[in-house]
Amino acid sequence: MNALLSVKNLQKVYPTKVGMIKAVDDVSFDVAAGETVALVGESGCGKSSIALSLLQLISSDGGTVHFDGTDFTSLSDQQRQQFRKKLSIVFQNPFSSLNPKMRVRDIVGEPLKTVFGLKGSKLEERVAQHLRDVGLGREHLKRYPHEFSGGQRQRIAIARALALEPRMLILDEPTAALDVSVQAQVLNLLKELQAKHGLSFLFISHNLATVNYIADRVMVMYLGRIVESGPVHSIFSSPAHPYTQALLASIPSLDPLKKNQLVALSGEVPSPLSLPAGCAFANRCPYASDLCRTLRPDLLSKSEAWAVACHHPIQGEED
Amino acid sequence: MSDKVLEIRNLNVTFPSLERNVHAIRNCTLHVNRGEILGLVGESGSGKSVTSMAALGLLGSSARVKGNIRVVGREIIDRSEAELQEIRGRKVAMIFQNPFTALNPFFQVGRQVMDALLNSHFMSKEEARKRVFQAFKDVRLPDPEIAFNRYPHQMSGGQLQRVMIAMALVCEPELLIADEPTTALDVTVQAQIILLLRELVAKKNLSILFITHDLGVVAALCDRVAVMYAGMVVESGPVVDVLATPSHPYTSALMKTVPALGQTKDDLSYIPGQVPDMSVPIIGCAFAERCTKVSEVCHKQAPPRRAVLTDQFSFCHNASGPVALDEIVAGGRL
Repeated sequence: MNALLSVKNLQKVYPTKVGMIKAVDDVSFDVAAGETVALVGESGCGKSSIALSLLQLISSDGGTVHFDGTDFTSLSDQQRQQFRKKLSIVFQNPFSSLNPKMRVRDIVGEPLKTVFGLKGSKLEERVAQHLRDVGLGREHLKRYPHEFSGGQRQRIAIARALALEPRMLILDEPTAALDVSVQAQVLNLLKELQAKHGLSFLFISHNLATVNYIADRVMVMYLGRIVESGPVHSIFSSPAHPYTQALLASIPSLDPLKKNQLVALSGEVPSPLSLPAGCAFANRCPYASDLCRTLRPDLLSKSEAWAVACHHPIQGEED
Repeated sequence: MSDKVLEIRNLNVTFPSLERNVHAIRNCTLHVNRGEILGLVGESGSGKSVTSMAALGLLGSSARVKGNIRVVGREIIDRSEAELQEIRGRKVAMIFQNPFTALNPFFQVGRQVMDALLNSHFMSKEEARKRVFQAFKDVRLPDPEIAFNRYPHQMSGGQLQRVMIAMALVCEPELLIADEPTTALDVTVQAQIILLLRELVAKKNLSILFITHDLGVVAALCDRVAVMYAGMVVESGPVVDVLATPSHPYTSALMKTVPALGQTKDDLSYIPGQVPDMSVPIIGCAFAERCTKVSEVCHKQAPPRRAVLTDQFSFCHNASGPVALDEIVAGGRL
């Protein structure tokens, strides 16, 4: 498989007054052309740090990020600008990611102006075309962000990200701030755009149901490390890592008759300042043994596409 | 005495402004029975939060509020601040969506909970401190003595939400209004809070008005549900009935937009169109513009309240079942 994005041993450490926080610890993964890979995990597990360091919007502290064969981390800022047009990002909150003092025409047009040097009617034509792509009409060109609903704003943010015709989009919780009825529209739009432009997506989310809907593969993170990765349908139907299993069990079902199946994980996420020696999940894991508390499990292949970092992986029906 | 802890009848809330008046709540009627959890669901802007603020008399003086709101038998509308203050805290308490902004970052959390208690009850500080420890134990905060002296920034979101619940329950209210208390939390923490609330309701003779936009949370936690659209309750009933056989097209449309695990990857359905402009009078059914089952009458006449099952009501012209009795008594007034 030819990877469009290839991340190897990525590290991100935040120094604080009371010690170092390893937000991203030795993370490696690939994203192929046209593929959607989801990154899931709870607040503070390092999802957004990965997104930002892929684009080098924050500098990484180790590892490499190859995009289309070039090591992104070793480039100068100027060279990197050229690459950023191939790899774009949509942020979580369309209420804060769009400049309230700019008109839609300028928000979507700015990258076209600075990178392609477009001007005048040509620029306007292109902006209108990108807006049409996300289902917005020409009449919206002169409007300001406050005149739009949340879903429409997220469409504008997507149009801006697609303005430079990137090959891959990083979507950092793109529907978390939206109502469900609108979320469905944005997810459908993303799928449609992917089919049309052959885009790859890195879809970051804490909502497993949306991941199930949009992604081909999923990576589950816990405290800075990937604990399980593989095809969405296999992992969601029979998770191998106890943490993945717990995440799935804590999603309330729409069926009120299943309400007693809701299971809550006990305990809290350990402080990233003082990580335990062994497996970071051991203190909350129902299957933890002495081995788990002393030796950190590596991410090992379970089958061709499926890897899990656990000493006692759950044996699914498919084994 | 009525067994309804909260009773809202024909509530209308208008926010006047220079250009136009926003009619945020239109004839909203709902109630919470003693010992039950009522889920109030709807999208942003449907009026869930305004309804709950009205129930506490917290809408500012500029809001025009009409109708009846009774909390544990006491009328809320047009009461003086002093009278309201007696009801708030003791009879009804509230938990807000974001525990990170609801607490004062400058004070220890234990002291903030204690202040809430001393504000409405006469007791010694020593006694109050004991009650706070007990409240912290009730919400399963580990090490109540240590937690007492923590500042908000030293706690996680889940712990802070437990502090908020402890603060609401320390005065032993009969009704708890929870405005999206799990929306800002991770799913694993949300599951913990849901199980905690279930346990507290069983143990403390508590009733909850639980506001959420998540139908999964409603299914997991609530006994009854009321679905809001454009400022009014369009359907209400026991959760098992409403989610199994929704009788209002908006409820069914909303349920279909929720992506579920194990679902095939066909396109998710969505609700086309926009929520109506709340500053323009609505003629007929508010959902008519977006409804797939719309007929001529929907654009002309507001739908009556129909009883589709014993306790399931729907404001839809197409719903089966007789027009509800109280509707006829009130002269068909919607």
